[in-house]
Amino acid sequence: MAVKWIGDAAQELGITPLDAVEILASRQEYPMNGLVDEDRFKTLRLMRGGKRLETSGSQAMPLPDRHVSPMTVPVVAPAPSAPSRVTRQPDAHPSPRACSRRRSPRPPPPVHVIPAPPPIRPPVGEATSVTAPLQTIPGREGERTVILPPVDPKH
Amino acid sequence: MGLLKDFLRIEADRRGALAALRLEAQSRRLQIDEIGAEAKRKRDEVAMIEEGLRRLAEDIARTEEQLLEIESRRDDHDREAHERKIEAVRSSLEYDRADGHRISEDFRRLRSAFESERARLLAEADTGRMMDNFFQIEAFLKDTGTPIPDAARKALVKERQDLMGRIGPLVAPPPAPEGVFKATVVYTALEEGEPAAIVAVGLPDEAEPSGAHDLPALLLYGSYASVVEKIGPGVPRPRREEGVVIYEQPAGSRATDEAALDLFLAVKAGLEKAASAAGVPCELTGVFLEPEIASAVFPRGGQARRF
Repeated sequence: MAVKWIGDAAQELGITPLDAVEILASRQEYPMNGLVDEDRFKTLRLMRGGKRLETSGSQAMPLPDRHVSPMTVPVVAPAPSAPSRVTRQPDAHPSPRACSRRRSPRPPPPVHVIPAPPPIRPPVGEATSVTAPLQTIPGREGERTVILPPVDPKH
Repeated sequence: MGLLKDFLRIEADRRGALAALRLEAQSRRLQIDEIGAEAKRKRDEVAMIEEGLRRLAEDIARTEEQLLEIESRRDDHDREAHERKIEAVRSSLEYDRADGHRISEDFRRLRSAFESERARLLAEADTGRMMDNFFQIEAFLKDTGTPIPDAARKALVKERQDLMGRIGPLVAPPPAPEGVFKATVVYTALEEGEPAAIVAVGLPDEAEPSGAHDLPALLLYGSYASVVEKIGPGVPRPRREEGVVIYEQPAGSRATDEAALDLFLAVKAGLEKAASAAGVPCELTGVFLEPEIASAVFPRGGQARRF
């Protein structure tokens, strides 16, 4: 898996290095050695446009009619062939059956609410790149932390 | 005869009364002299008291002058201490910056040479075979389930050492500079205007564009990542002012001291983590600055470079 320096990755994506740092750090995914693997690079590519949107505060989400848990709101799949023109045609030439159906109170159209997927966060208490204890290797001058660079598999 | 006798008696009475009056007058004159002497003595005493009062007034005036002089010297000392503190903070940050620059250059040189050596080794034809051999020997030696005869173990250890000498940079940890990255992280809580927490550290300039061998960039990014992780996204970016990286965070509804401490801990933890990730020993010292000193060292609205 190829790794990139975060500055190079940011330049490739057209953002500043601190933008890239902020994106990864806000998801608890910033690597402290500054080397971005492919997964994090994909995260950067996905998040570069909506970074400020996500960090600017909460977004208003449409609420379902019934007071139920967001996880239990049914997601109705759209009809495979139900173009709006087809439903509008009977309005031009209304049949008595259609008229009687129109007079009856229509139920409100179902609101298709797809709850936003929860952000991928480590569980509370789990070590992240910032909070994880560093592995130390005792050396001649005492303990020294060493990060082994990944080996490029192509070579 | 009667008249003469009356005249003589009257004359005698007049002479007696006159003598009594003379005595009375003499007594009064003596009394006046005593009062005059008493008055003179009192005047002398008053003069002495007035002289004492004059001396006391002079002493008071002299003491007041000395007091004013002492206050002036105290103001001078305060001003001098203020200026010396400002200078000490600036020189400390500048020293940290210069020292960090030295370590950064060592880091860059060591890592560049290390990477060059790695690239050279990886370009050689038999490097892959040697790495395979090395890791197989490593796994074999660490496998406690398989007994290895002493002679075979000795031969494997020797082979491993030979391989280590030939492909060392590919299996050894990257080198780190001998020195210790030492820095003073100053923080303060400013109450003037909009309350804000400030944390500053003297860091050398990062390369433009930065690279994987750029220790200042690594430290800067690590500290900012730590701030984002601990305080939250959307925090203001750090700015660079005369070689000093400054984090300034509005306190908002929190106590400014508390916000300053949180920001300081986040920056310090980020610097330590980033330095550890780079394999560079790190010693950071935190110093709380008085707001008056911080206002002079880090003026708001100055010519700062935002990242």
